[in-house]
Amino acid sequence: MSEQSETAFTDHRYVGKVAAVTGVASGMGRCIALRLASEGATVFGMDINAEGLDEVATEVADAAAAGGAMHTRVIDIADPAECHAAIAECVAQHGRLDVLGNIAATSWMKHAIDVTTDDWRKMFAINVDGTFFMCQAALPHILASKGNIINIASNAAFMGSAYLVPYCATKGAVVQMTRALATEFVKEPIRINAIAPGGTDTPMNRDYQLAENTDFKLLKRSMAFRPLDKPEHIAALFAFLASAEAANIHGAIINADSGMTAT
Amino acid sequence: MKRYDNKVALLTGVASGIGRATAQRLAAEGACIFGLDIDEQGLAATEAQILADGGKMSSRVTDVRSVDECHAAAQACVEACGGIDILGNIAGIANQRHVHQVTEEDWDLMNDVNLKGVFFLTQAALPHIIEREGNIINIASNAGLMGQAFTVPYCATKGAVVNMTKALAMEFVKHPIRINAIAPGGVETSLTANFKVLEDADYSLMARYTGVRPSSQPEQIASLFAFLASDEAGNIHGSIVSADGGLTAE
Ligand SMILES: NC(=O)c1ccc[n+]([C@@H]2O[C@H](COP(=O)([O-])OP(=O)(O)OC[C@H]3O[C@@H](n4cnc5c(N)ncnc54)[C@H](O)[C@@H]3O)[C@@H](O)[C@H]2O)c1
Ligand SMILES: NC(=O)c1ccc[n+]([C@@H]2O[C@H](COP(=O)([O-])OP(=O)(O)OC[C@H]3O[C@@H](n4cnc5c(N)ncnc54)[C@H](O)[C@@H]3O)[C@@H](O)[C@H]2O)c1
Repeated sequence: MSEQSETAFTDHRYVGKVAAVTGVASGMGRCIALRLASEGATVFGMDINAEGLDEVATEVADAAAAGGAMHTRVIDIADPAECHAAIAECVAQHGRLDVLGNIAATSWMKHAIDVTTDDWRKMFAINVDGTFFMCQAALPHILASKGNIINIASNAAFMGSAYLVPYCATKGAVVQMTRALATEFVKEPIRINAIAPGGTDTPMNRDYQLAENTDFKLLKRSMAFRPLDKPEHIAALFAFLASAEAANIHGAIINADSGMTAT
Repeated sequence: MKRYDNKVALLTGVASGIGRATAQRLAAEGACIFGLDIDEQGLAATEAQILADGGKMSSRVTDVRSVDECHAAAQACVEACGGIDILGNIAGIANQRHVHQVTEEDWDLMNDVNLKGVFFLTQAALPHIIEREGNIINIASNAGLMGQAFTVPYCATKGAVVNMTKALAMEFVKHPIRINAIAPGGVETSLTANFKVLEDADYSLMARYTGVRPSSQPEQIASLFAFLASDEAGNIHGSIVSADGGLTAE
């Protein structure tokens, strides 16, 4: 709120801070874990992919010159009880929680007609339930530390993208969840924001399989003019937004998409 | 190496408030500031402060309402500093009026400073920004994103800045430059200190835009500006970044 910047410039903003981050085995989550640790954070890294988690933990250990570190917890965020258990474990281990980053999500392309009940529920369970119950579990600790939460939404929350109906719906939900939480906690000294990336060079984006008989005319707006973004840019924005430098940014949805949603 | 070493920032409105704080922040991170303002005294004070702190700054008294002045100022910046990496359109004015009180003069003044000035300084700076693969940040406002009673002309200009930013971003999406806006909520500056609330204002209509959290400090807008104008924000283009303590989330 009116707290002043701790450090003027971008160096060791996270010394002594504990950050619980989901989806750190890959893509943006990995870069965020590396970035926060390099600025001194203790990262409580969560993912469903145990092997990927271990690899990233090794990378963090090699890179964390500023005293940062990463502890891992395998989790399926689709299970609300697991979200609560993991956050409790984080606080039991590290005594506090300053930052929650909800990065993990799933995405695939399908014709709306072909989406099964199971498909739909699974995507909501990961992208929406996982994000909400992590927030719910973390909030008492974030209130105690006067910390903040960042959810990763998507350009898909602002564009109606063909063959991505469930994904667009989940990311729209993340945007409105972020805004509603921000209003509910506006009198508390905490911050809740979201980042809406555009097409970013991660396994999720590289592994997209087009829906059968895709009509490319309908994907025109999704064909960005600029090359895919680097996940490191999302990590830099995350590290700024979760720091005291962004003390007056609350309830904001920050588009970082190389112009995709400007039109 | 600091983030803004060897960078030239052309900034308007640096005699006061957000403009001054931004000039100080970028100068502290190594930038060479070319500052513009209509207020000669305030401009000189900012420059003296930055020089005293060991920063680099030169300035030119400029009324951004004049197209010729905008072009002359951009030219002067290039002559003095060798180019333009960053343009910050920060100068702006605000006031409260009932719709029926707004005169043609009021309307033109608000438009000329908040909108016309932003466009023509951008027009003048763009070739230089492209040459250096730099970026532009316009200061919009929460008033550009929500309907606020008793500030219709101000809301109109700031809404225009929001969409002008996006339109510029699209026109230049194939160039290696970035164009964004920051939409602050209430900030403690002389703009808010001198803001006269109408005597007969209906406070129930104003409550929606006064917010729950205390006003921001200009230094907080400056820290966002310093991130957004840096290479770290390389994928942020055509964005309107709200920094308003939750005002527009509701
Ligand atoms: N890559 C893009 O183009 C793009 C664009 C906009 C938004 N996003 C969003 O960015 C975020 C990060 O995506 P990414 O591109 O880095 O993808 P990614 O696939 O590289 O990483 C996602 C991670 O989430 C983990 N995960 C998936 N389901 C899980 C579950 N049930 N429990 C725990 N962990 C689970 C995966 O194992 C993986 O490590 C996501 O929220 C995604 O929707 C991505
Ligand atoms: N203070 C707030 O609450 C707030 C909120 C949202 C947006 N903003 C915006 O932030 C920007 C900066 O405002 P501030 O709060 O720092 O105000 P300020 O009054 O402290 O500073 C504005 C500066 O613009 C200069 N200026 C005015 N007319 C000019 C002209 N014709 N040519 C050149 N310079 C001129 C003034 O001399 C002054 O130095 C404005 O665009 C304003 O609309 C402010």
